[in-house]
Amino acid sequence: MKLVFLASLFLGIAAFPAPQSDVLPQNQASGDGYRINVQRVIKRSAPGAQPTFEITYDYEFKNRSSVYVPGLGSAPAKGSFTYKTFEPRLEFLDQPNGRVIQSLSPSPTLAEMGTDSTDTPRQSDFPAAARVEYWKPPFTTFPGAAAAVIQRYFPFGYITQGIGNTNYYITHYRGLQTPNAQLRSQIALMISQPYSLADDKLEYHVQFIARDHPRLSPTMRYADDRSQLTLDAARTFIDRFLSDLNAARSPQ
Amino acid sequence: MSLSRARATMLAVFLAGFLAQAAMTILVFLKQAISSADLVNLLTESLSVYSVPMAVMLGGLFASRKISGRISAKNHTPFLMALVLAVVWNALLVWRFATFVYAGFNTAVDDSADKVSAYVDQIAKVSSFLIAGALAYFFSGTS
Repeated sequence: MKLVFLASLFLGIAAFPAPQSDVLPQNQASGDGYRINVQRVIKRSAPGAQPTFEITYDYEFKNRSSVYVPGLGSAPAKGSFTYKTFEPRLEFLDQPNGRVIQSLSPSPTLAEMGTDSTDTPRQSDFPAAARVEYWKPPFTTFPGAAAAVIQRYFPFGYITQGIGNTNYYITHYRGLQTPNAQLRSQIALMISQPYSLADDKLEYHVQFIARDHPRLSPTMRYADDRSQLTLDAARTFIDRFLSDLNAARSPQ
Repeated sequence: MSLSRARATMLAVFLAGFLAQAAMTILVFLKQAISSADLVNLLTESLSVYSVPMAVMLGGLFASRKISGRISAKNHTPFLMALVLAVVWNALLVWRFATFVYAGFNTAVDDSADKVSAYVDQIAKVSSFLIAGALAYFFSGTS
């Protein structure tokens, strides 16, 4: 009898709908002159791969002109971003290597197992050769402009990673157009900054991995095995990407 | 029909099957639809599949320096059966390469060298019964 009572009590509790909320309370922080609102954190796991967290947030620091977000770089004092990261932690610093103004460890609002089908290379996979570019002030416009252009060409977004004092934006692979209908070419980009602020310019680097495979051969070819058409298409793509990135610069 | 003629016919069927597969693989490669690595893989796969029956046939031919036997009227039926089975075995493999060539020339059709290789490997393994008896019947012994 007692057992039946406990079982029905358990079933009753299990059947009772838990309160649903897209944003958990610990995903928000606010105080004197600041607010941080993490709208969404999607944890994506795939067998044999490091989990990623796609985080969407907006923030505002009223008494500042800029903040520094490790992995992203110097950003405006007010803004919103969506990107993937390996660490579900959000930190706002007053400057690179500076004091932590606010930090947050948001909880995933959604967890997807084995669904991250985007093929994204690691930071160490990229060749050392880089195209060196410069960003004119204000430097804080760089993350927003880069995010907008990346999103245009890489709809599944990018991963941010802060290693030392350098911030890396790493995209997934996307297709490249070549004149050969039998060729399947792909490219992934890595944009890193800052390297130098000399001459009042932000130096950033663009590296890429281009790969291809004949249409009926599933194995990807890298390095010297790639078709020249793939390399030509990759250079054309980067020219267009950088042209759009420079056009996306907008003064604050 | 002489035994040597029967053996030559059987050998021709297998040789034609193998050459057709090799030619179609090379054709797809020339169309730039497969990589050089897959060209080697597919040719190797075909060669490995044909190596056993070809070894039996060529071994039988070289072992008998002079073949003087004849197939009697009552032996025509086994020969025809062997011929049909040999054609069937080869057709099982060749048709897959034909579809592969079609995919190579038609970009709307999806296929891959790995799928062809897996098909050839699997089919050759399970269909060896089709030719084992016939080859033993016609190519073992000298008359």
